[in-house]
Amino acid sequence: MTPDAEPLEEAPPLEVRQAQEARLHAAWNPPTGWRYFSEVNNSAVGMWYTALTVAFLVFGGVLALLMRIQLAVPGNTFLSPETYNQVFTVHGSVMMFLVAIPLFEAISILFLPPFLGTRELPFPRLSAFGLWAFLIGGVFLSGSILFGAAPNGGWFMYPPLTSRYEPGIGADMWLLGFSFIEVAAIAASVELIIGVLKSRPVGMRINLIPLYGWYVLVAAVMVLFAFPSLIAGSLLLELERAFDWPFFDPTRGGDPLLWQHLFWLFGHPDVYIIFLPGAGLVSMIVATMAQRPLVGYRWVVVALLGTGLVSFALWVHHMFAVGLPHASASLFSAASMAVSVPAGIQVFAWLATLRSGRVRLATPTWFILGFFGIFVLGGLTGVMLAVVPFDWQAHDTYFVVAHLHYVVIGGMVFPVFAAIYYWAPMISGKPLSERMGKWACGLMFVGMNAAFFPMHVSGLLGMPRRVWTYPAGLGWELWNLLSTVGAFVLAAGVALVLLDLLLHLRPAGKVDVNPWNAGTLEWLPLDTYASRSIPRVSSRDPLWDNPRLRDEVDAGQHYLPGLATGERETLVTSPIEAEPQYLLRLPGPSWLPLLAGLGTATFFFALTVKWVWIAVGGAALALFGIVRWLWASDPRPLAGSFEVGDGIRLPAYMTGSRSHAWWAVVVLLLVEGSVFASLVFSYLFLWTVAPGAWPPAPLPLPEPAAAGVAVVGYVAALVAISWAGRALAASHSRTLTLALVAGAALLALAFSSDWRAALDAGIDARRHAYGAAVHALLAWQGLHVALVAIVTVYVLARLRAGLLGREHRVTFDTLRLLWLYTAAQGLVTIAVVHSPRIVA
Amino acid sequence: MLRAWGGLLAWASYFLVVYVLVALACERGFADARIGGVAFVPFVAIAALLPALAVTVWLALSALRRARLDVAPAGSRFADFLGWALGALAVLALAWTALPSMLLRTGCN
Repeated sequence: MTPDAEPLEEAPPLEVRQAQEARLHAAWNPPTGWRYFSEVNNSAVGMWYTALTVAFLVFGGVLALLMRIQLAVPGNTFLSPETYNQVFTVHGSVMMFLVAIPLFEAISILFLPPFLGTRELPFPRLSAFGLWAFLIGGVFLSGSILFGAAPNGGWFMYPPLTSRYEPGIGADMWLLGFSFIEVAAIAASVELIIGVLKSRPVGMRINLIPLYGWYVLVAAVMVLFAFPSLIAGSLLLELERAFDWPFFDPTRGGDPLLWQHLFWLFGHPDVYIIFLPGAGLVSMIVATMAQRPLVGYRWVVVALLGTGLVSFALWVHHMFAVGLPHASASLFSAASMAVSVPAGIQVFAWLATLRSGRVRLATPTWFILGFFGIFVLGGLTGVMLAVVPFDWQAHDTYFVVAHLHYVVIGGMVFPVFAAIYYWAPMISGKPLSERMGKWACGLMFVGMNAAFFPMHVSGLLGMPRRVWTYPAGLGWELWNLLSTVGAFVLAAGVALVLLDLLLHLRPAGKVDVNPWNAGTLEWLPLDTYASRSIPRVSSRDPLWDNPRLRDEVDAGQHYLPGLATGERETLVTSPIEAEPQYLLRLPGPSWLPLLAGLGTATFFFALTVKWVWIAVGGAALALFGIVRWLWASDPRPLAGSFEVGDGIRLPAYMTGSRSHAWWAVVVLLLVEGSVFASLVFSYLFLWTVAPGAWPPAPLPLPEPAAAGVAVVGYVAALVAISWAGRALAASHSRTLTLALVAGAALLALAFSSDWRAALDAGIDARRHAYGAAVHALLAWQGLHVALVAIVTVYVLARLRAGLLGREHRVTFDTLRLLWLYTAAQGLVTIAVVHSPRIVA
Repeated sequence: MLRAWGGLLAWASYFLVVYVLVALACERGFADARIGGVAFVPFVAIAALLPALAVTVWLALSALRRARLDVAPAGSRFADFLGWALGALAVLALAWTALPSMLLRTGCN
């Protein structure tokens, strides 16, 4: 008998249970009426987020159908060339940035807490902020096509087409808009990483995490390192468009290939960021539908960790045709083939599970079987494209279009549709229609293959992607007509699923079902507060190993059966062994995330159309919303400890590396560091490709004396923050204030010395890519120094308000981490900017 | 995660070093140089491979030793399992990545 079989507590008397439930409902029930949209709970935010991404999927799908109508017959004029350019650009961008990536985040925000048996993820308002930012940004970007103002340079926006030959606002919309949506994605990743690492139930050690948790963890970590290169690239391209900083202009030392490197440093890991969560859904569904634990759990974790890391070494396989040396291409070709090994391990684990179990052929299973067929074919054509000579032939043809759709639709769409049918009962208490589901699956499978398999042929026959139309007589007619018919059949399948959802999905209050006899925690009875108590776990399939667990949890016989602190709260556990550490008090409904999201969206989109003052207003609104929201997010510590069940008492406040806030700041600093690394890469890349000396004569280097002053300033600022830490520990408010003010001034002095030296030397950002790269590095550093100054003022304001002290210090710890990072980044910036002198 | 990914990080470092050196050699025109009779690219691939292999094998064996001791809690033991399994995968990845560069006789192409 496993320890799960023993409830932690005796079942409390009925009146106690009712009182506990009433308090839980009071804390967790969402507001009613229009205030419902101020809710920040994962179940509400995750539901809206998911619905929104499905709406964008439909929008992107309609654009695809327009393209297919245009290409159905040769010489068609259904769409004008300009409209066609906008349609394929928006289709690709929407499907990537508004569907594939956010769908995994949305589903994870919705499902991860129940998978982990926790009440809530640790930063609910951050999720809500991400949602509103995504909604406003997504609608704005999608809507631009209705006014003919959409981007038209393709979803990967290659310069010089997008830097020199697209004068409208479409490219700016793409660069600013999607950077902003990437910020929302990073926000979600912070939430998901800390959620998986710190919000698991007691006893759920890392070897017991549901596989979806592992997949989400790896995908979210990948987001941290992949998205920053696109943010950096977008920043550089926008700087070139708006201010004529010539990063990509070969006539002034720039190189369009720099964009391709930055884009695909994001773009290839992104394929796995999309696929891995889909594979996580498959892993969960396959085990249940086969009624046995997944074969090779440990090796699947090994495979997905391997896939995650190796996928960062594949980006150049999108650039085989740009004339790279074969020696470089061979490295990426080898890595591109190697990544199929861990992907293959996962496929064999799923097949072995199905082979050795008793498979229930319900709709989710059919979608999973469809996934196998489609995704494996996409993977095989991927290996073909990893072979350099083949890639040269197929590059930029419809063969690549076929390959990427097999991967994305197979790897993401089919698993998500399987998930819709599998988890719908968790939301509405009853399954969707099996009959409609099976029809939909059949239509989608046939339609998908009919639409995209012929593209392999048309591609091999030489049809380039993104052509508006084509003449008759090239042998492409039949294949294109087939693709168009297939696209409409696929759309009919999707429409049938939507109809099924409209007819049969009705969110219920309390849900107490387990229709597939699953073994994982999301099938505990769920209410607005998640499960009635938080289970103790000691196996991967707790509901299979302890059939009484659902009743015990629902009777409040596990952790946190009521409200310990009187507020929304959840347990925080240690990352490896899931030992209880403290009680995290969670914020309730608020309009502030919406306000901050609105301000952020206004800032970005006003910049797009160069409404500078409205942009400033948007930034002020965002700042106000975020500061107000943060002000309440580090509440006064509650004295003493609180009983959570099984005789365990926990504090309700935590500082240092056990605190979820500390982890979140570290994660965010990894993102900052990745953007900075991309800027350093850009500088070094431009240096490498520059013919002759760097900087090219007669361009100057900054004077080394100023660098010396800056180094002293940054080191002194590090001493100041250490001094401030000691003052806080000794409760010396005046010394703390002095240290922080002096330290912030030293940071500013160090930065201004470095920047001044560049200006005094006459380094001009417009004259040559060298100057542009130097100023980009300095601007990034300046942004961080300004951020430290703002946060320092904020910390001093909290000190004055009595909200900062020796024990109550999370805000200070956050500032200290940011401060350390900024000083270190400043020192590296100096080293990079002055490195040509050292090398010389 | 670092404990688990140690071996693969060694592979990633190897990949990065070789990629950067090869890119520099090809861009700056010293790829045709020979070191001890061996062309630059294969030389770099072999020279960087030895320390990368040593670190990877050492990390994997350390993790294997810890995993076998059976005294740590289950979560830690799982991290050690990931450490040696991913280390083994990293050894294969190192060999696979190094092979094409080692087979090049001259220059970049």
